[in-house]
Amino acid sequence: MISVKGLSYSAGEFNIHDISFDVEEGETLVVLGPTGAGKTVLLEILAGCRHPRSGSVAVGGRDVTHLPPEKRGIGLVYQDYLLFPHLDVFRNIAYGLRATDLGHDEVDSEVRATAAQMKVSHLLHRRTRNLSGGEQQRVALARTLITRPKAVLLDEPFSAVDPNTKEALMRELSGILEDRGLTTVYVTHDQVEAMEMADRIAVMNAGRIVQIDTPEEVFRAPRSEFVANFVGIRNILKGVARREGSTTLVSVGGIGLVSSVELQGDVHVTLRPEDIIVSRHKLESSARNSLSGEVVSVVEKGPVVYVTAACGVELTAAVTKESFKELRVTLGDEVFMTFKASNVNLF
Amino acid sequence: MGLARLTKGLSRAEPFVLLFVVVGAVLITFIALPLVATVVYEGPGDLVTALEDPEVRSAITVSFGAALLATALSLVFGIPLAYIMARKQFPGKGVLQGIIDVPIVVPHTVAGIALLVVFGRMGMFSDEMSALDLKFEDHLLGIIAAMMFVSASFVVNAVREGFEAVDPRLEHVARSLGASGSQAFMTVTLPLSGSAVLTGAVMAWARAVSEFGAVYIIASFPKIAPTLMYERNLHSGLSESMPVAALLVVLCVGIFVTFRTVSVYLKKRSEET
Repeated sequence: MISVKGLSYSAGEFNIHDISFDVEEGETLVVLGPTGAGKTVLLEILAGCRHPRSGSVAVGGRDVTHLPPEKRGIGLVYQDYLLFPHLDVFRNIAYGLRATDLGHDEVDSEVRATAAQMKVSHLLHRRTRNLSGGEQQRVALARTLITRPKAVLLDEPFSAVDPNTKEALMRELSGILEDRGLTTVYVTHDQVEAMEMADRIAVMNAGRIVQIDTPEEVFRAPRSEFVANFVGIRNILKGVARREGSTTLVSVGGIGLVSSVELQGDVHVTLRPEDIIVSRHKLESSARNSLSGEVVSVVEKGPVVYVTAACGVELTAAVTKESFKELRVTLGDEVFMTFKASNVNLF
Repeated sequence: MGLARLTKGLSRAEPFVLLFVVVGAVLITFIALPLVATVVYEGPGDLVTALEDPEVRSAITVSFGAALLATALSLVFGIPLAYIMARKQFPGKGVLQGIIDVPIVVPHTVAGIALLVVFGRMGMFSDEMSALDLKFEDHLLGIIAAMMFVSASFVVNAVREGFEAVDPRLEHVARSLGASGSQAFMTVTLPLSGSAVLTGAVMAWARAVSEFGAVYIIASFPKIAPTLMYERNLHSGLSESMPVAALLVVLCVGIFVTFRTVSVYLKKRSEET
């Protein structure tokens, strides 16, 4: 649906380097990256508000690289929604129908139908200034959806939304996108949001897309140190891998790990904290890796407790608060850390 | 109520603030006293007599009308220029801004001479102008040109600031919703800059109506109000010129205050919504 090839752009501190990707019809591609990675600039290039130095953008097989925004059929919703402050909610939603030859009554019924779907019917005659973040977001989406775009670009849609309502709104938004079969490029710096919204994730850093994969792949198998760090994998180690039979043995700082990734030579090893089981006694399980070590740090973070043990190398495991209570470990205790070979990611 | 708050505020003020209040009051008095004195010195009866003088009425009409036309022309040419200056980056932009600002520093008589060089009977375009039967010297067009020259900067700068205050991403959104560049400008950027446009227009009109030097050099006829004042003062002295002066103070200040109030009100309203 959207096909981007070799896109480069530069303007001051914002640069985009040779970005290529395809978004399938009806798919949601989440562009995940830290602030300043160039995510918003990328959306503005796709929308036609900025002109790339080189490369091309195609929508539905048609090259739109040199078309102005109004000819692209792509909707753009900024993170601060940018409702038109001089127009009330009704006129904001109706704005995109100006260019059509719809009569007054048709505009009216279209606006009411879209408003009803976005649950903002009661706001139609309100000014935009005093709407809540969530209300503004619904109005902004209604304003975009009423034009029946071929694709929508969403820039950090939930950054201005109350965290308590975010979860429900996310589910709702994802329902709307799915119902309408909308092709979506969704920008965020939040991994949980990315995980929940994405069909695929493109991880972006410093103007480049460093990995593009399904959410599972990105989180289980980051292909670079940046991605590993950014998606919150706390255990990133360096080692040497060699194949032995159908498995890979990795020696990391004097200890040996078993991995199911087929790779040899100098490697990075990543292991997600929630994939490690912590116990006081050696576990009888099919997991191929089991190391023992002394607990060197215990850090509580929300509902999760991070337990770090020195097992030759330091490994950090995430356990829930309840299981941490049952474990009854304190600093200096000996614990076992157990994890599957398939969770030991190499790159 | 207001006075009570003022006294209360002053009684609590620090010594240096009190000093500043006193020093500031000197300046306010310096500006206000001559104007107030001019009006008070003449009784209201003299103002009415002055207003009944056909020469005075015609001069005031020419002044206000020419200033209005000059302002309208400044808006027509200044709004597009202000948009370019607000939105685009290009080499030579600083030079352009300098040209926009330069009429503020050029002495007004010099501005008049400079306009004569271009638009005068013996000026650069004398042939073209006589072919088109256009006259600037001692003609209404000359007055408008002089007024526009000294006042257009106010329109461009005020409107430019207004445009700069409109988030360009609002235009991006409008265009992603199907509006062309010019539609986005007309339906989003310009309406959101309404109070800035009005402020610029009021400032430009006020500047134009108060201009004498440049106008007198290019067109001492038809007489604008300041020209009439100047000539009456020259030929008949203060007693003849004062009533006209008083009338002008009342009219100009009245109009200026009215429009300023409206534009401040509009600005406040647009900030509230």
